[in-house]
Amino acid sequence: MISDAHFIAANRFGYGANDRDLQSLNTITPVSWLKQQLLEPYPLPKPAWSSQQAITDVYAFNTFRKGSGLDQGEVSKARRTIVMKARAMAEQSVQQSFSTNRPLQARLLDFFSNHFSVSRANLSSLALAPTLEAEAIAPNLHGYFAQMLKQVVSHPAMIVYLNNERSVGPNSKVARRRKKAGLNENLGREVLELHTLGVNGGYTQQDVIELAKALSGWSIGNPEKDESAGFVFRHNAHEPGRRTILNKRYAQINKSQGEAQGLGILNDLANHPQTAKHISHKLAKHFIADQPDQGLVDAMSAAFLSSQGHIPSVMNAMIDHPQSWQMTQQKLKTPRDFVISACRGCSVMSPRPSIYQLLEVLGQGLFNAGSPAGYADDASAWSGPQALMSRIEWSEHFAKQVSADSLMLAPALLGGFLNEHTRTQIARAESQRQAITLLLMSPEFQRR
Amino acid sequence: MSKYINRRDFIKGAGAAWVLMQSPSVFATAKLLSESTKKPLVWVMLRGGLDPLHTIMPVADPDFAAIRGAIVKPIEDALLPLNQSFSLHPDLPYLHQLYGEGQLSPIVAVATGYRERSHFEAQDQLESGLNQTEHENGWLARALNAYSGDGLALARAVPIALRGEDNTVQTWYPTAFNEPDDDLLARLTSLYSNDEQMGEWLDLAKMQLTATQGMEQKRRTNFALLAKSCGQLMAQQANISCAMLELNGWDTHNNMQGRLSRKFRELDAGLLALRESLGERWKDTLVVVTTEFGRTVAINGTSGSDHGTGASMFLAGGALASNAPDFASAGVANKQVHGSWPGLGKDQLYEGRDLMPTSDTREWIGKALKAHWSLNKRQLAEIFPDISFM
Repeated sequence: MISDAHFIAANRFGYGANDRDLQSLNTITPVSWLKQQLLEPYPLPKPAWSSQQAITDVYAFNTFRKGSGLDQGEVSKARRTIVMKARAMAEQSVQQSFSTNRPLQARLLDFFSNHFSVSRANLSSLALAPTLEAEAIAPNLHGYFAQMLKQVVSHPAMIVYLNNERSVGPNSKVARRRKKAGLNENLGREVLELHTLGVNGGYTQQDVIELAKALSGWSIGNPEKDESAGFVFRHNAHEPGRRTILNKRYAQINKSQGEAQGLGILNDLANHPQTAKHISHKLAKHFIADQPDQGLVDAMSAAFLSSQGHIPSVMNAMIDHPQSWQMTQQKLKTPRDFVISACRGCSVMSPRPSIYQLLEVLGQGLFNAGSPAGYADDASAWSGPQALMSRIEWSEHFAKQVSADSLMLAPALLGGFLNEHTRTQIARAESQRQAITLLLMSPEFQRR
Repeated sequence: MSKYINRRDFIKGAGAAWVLMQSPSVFATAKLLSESTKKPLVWVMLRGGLDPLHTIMPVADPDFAAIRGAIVKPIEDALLPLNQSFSLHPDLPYLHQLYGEGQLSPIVAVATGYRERSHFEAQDQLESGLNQTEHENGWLARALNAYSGDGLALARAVPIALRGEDNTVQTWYPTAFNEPDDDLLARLTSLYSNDEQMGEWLDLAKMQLTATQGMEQKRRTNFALLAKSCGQLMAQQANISCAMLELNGWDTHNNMQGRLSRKFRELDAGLLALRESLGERWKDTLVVVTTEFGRTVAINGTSGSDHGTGASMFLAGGALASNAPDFASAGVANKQVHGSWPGLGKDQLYEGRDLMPTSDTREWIGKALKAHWSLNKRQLAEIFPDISFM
């Protein structure tokens, strides 16, 4: 028997029910259906490319571009090749959400990818951005936040996006050689402000500087200079000495211990009570409501601390909490989730225009938040008259591509949430296409 | 984050305006506007780095002909003189007309606090209006806080400049899809009869749709269309006090003369469209036109110029003429080219290659806001904390 709780599980925690979900839901409780999705790493398809290839291609392109007597057309073509590969990679994970049997984990992948937002600011970050979620986030969704944080912060995509590759400790060997070299606080600041403690998390400017010093020398290799195309620790650029962050001391490191000092600090930041609160609040806000219930956040936060940031344990606390199962649909779907749930629900696997172009139009382009804070999770940031009109126009355009019957689709997608008023409006539509448009634009489908 | 429109009081006001617009009584409309009208501010952001020397040409500078002769020669006879020292590019006839009407103040040799040469960083910093980039804290949002009213971005998402606390910001951008017909809109209205919030959004969306209707918006989104839509939305919603428009494509590393000719015609036509669509509100409007940085003084090997420092900007709009005394006392009088000219001699250039900036872009915006919105020193300091205002 499919209950309202099954529909909540599918919609609020996933991308809506499709036929296959409904079949598997038939034999299992909603709670177990959700929890069993969290036990293993998220199975991304074989990636279209990797950070290693991205770095190699970008460095090769930069060398190529500086060559003499080049045709402008050839340069654009070479650049475009890189852009298209990155784009294919970015689309791949969205596409997978249309059919995944672990929609909850797919939502978590999106959540953490946005939490650790990287944007396509220039060619290197454009090329690297989509590799971050595949290489550092997806493999850790079933594990610990600390592990994810350490892998993200040392990942080339984050290092390049927040300009850490040229961050040089003021008393390092490199700084003594080159006058212009210096510390870049970007990465250190965003780790504290966005990734871990949160903006009012009780750290000081001195903590930012100390973390930046600990992370100085975290860089990426230049394959054109026979370095490995990935993370490298440049000891000569690292600020020597011990660090003090949040009143805790971290010992001086020598060459052989490499990045251990920074990793030790990140580990402690990841497990800080303030981080537990910050991540739990963001998760509850993402899944349940723009202003989530404090009891729910507290329960998740407690689970975070007692499990040392074990992500499935935090999610289980959300899943076990009665506030997560309220019948009221409190959260308007983001543009991204609206589109994914429409494609998934209507079984349209290759929508036109492409998901990449469409999300640009709807204001949530892939890896284009333009801010390390990522896309805001408040409806106020992406709703409003213009946003609604864009959804209406797209729905009508998309409805042409749907072959399913609207009268069958409406109860399958919305179950007991489909109210009589909406059902009547859909039934009275002048065409199948108009009916699908009304279904997708109904308050019940727009909210979760 | 900025808030989109969802306040009940505004809905009521806008709804009332909407009804009046539909009625034949011009008088009633005018009255409504005069009671609550804000003085519009429109910021035009030229992305890519506008070449300053090919825009406001320093014809009297002794080094100019030698440096830029090759690309200026062909258009030399058509230049549009501003005064004895400067002329506008021939493809900016409307700007030139505005200058004659006392509605344009060109400013030379300006820069923000940014001294590197990355478009991305320079643009973000100009949008922040700070000496470092804060992605959620834009100067236009802070200006809005100091004044009042709502913001408008002709963009798909709220740009950095309009991000901040406690602002109401609308966005408008022509979409790639067809507009819904009246039948579908009527059915959606009925569908949302039990959903207050979605119903409000739909009502406002229908207003926007009407305001921008009849325009060729599907195939090609050009700047004139965005400028026209901007003017129409502002003309219809008296509560909007500032708007941001963007025009890309100024990164002219090659074939600068031909490319800038086309871009200038686009910009020129856009400002004309803005004026026409703003209607009565134009006389109270201030337009600020800026770019993230200037370009190298020398012409490169591909008849273009490379990323530089000192840039040009414009103040424009009916407000410069109708409120001339206030602008004059704030130091931005009309019918005048502002900014101190640094010269083009090798030793007068920044790092031996770029036009030397002699004043800060933000200082000029601040002066203009002081006159336009009667802002005081404290308010200006909140908008541009890194600039000291006299």
